[in-house]
Amino acid sequence: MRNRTDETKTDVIEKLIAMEEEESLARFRASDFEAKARKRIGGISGRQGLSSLWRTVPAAAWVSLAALMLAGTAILLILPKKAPGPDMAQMIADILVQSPPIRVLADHAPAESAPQNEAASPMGQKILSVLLGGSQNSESDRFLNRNSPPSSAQPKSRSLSLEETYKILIIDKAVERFLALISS
Amino acid sequence: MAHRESVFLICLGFSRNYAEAEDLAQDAYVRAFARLKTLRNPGQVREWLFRIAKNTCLDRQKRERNRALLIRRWTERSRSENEAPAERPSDERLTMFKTAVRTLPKKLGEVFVLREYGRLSYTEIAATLRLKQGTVMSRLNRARKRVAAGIEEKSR
Repeated sequence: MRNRTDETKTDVIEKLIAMEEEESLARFRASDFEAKARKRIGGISGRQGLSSLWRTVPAAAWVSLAALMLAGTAILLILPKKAPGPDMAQMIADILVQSPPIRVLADHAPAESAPQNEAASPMGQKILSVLLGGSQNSESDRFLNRNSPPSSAQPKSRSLSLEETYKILIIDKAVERFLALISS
Repeated sequence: MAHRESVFLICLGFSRNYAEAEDLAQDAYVRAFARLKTLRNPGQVREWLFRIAKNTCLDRQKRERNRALLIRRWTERSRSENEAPAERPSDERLTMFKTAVRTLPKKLGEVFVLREYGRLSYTEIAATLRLKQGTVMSRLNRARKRVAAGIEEKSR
């Protein structure tokens, strides 16, 4: 009795499998499975060929390439970075304006210094004009105007000692070099 | 291409539908090609190929299980929604049967599919799975019982 039940179950399973197989096998035979599989295998073998080509490159070449890359990275890290852009220049100029020696320089800017400024680069000229009170619209000017008394109330400029002049000239030269560097 | 129909049928046993089975069969052949160097005994190429096909299918099932688990966790959707295949067997009994086969434990499922779908002999199954013939027979018997019970349970 139990064996008969098992046989019936097996029959049911076989019938179900046969049902599924019949339809699927017909489709499988009609489909070009071999061509599809060969296409995929072709893609794989192409990649394998490429990888075997890479493997043929001697290890020494890889090591030297890695060393070169490391050296390049180190050089990039050591070398000075690219000059800052115009925004950065404006910011630096604002900071310089607020520093005391430059303000002194601005106060004592002689009229003869104009031709000298023309020789500087356009960016340098722009910044120098900001430094030396060219445009009234810039924030630095407004800052300067806010912090300084009205021009009518300004005291007459006193004459500088040789040491002070020398100090100002050194700072002026440093600023000029710095501006030339960032404007190039 | 030798044994391709057997490979396809084994894949059909492990998969949900025709499209998946065909894709798995292709995967199995690609994998076999990539691992040709691992074929130690050319006389057993059939068993070697079936073993690769079986492992390909089981690997895919495992991946799908993990993916479904992740999707369920992330989206809080039910498994049935995420796993809804594009193509389902039209017969309801066949669907129940496929579900019963897919829910078999791995050890029983592989023996069942190789025997019922791949139509491999006990000796071939034993060689493919590197088991004793007696083990194959007992596992097959247990698998059949479970599948039958699964169908009965679901048809109630």
